[in-house]
Amino acid sequence: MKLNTTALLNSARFNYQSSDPRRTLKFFLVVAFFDLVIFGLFGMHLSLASLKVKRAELETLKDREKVLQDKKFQLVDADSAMRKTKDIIPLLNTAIPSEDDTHVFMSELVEKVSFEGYIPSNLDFYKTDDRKMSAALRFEGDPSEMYKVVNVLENLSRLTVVTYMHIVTDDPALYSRIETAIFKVSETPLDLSEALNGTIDVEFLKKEFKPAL
Amino acid sequence: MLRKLLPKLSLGRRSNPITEGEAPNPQIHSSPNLLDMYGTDPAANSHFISQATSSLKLFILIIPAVFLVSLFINDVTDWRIGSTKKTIERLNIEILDYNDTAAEANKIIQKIEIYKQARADHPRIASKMEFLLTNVPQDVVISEIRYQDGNLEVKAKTPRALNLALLIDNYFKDKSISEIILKSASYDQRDGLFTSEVGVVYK
Repeated sequence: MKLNTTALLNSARFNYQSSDPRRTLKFFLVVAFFDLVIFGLFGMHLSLASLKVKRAELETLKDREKVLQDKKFQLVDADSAMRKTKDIIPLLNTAIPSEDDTHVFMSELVEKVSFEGYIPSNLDFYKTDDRKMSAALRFEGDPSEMYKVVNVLENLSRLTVVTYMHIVTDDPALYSRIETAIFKVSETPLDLSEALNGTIDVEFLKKEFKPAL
Repeated sequence: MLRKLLPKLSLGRRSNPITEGEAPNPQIHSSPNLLDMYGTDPAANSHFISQATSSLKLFILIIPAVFLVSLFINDVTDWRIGSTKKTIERLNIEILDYNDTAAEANKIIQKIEIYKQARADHPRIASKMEFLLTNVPQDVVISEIRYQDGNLEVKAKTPRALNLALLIDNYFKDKSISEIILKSASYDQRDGLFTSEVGVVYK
């Protein structure tokens, strides 16, 4: 469809007539020039510059909105997971407490190994890092059944892993030594602007702690 | 070539029609200045001016129209910015309600990660130890057992060399053992005992 621009412009009463067509042309040339300067170079330039800044701001805000939205969904999921595992979380907190709590570890250890017929002869604790403490342990008792001590260590309510062990049945008092590691997670202030570090693995918690309930 | 090009120019050409059959007279355009043959045609000029004027009118209307469109887009962007800010404020308030949950959840997530890592790095060895210490043939004494870097090593003493082979055979009854490495074997003449060190590798 061919657009009759002249008819369109005339119908919009945008018409200037002069006896001399050259004067008409000159008139419109001048108008076009000012039009270009006012709307094109001045108005549109500023408008587009402003639009560019606003688009950048909008993009930043949209990113922030997305982070917050994701965080909200994560928090809703975490809240739901925590409700599902409310009876398991205290066990996890005992396994990995927020404090050193070495006295709790020692009293439980002494009580349980004594029950198996062993007496702790030496307990040395040293901090490996902020989250880990190592303990060098020696026990008096039958060395040929030292696996019972290891079994006690691995089933304490505090998460304990055996990192090194050397049992000498000839002279257990001198040489037998078990090294273990226990863990803690310190209280750290949470930055609400950041997303959570992951998700709560409900299945893992149920599998690992449900038998203990 | 020039003949083909000239009619396309809107400036027009001085009318000098050559009728068919009439031979062109070389006397007519005898001037060496080629521009002499062009002149202004008022009708063609008027048509050009009319077209130029229409184009200018269109141009004059389009520029403000584009400007208005850009203003409109600006306004829409402003509105979207305002709306997004409101959403962010609402989300911030909603997240603040979960402040305690977030702190607790982060702690639990960290603990689970530590728990998994610790169990992966140091699997339980009590049952493995029990198997190695109890499944020994007669006359074999386990004098040492060592656990280091995930590997278990056993030092056995026996008066008969064959018992060492039986010991290794017994250990292979545990299906979780993938490899048994005989590290050393010696005979002490004073004690009359064979001593052997074996490393046990689990799957």
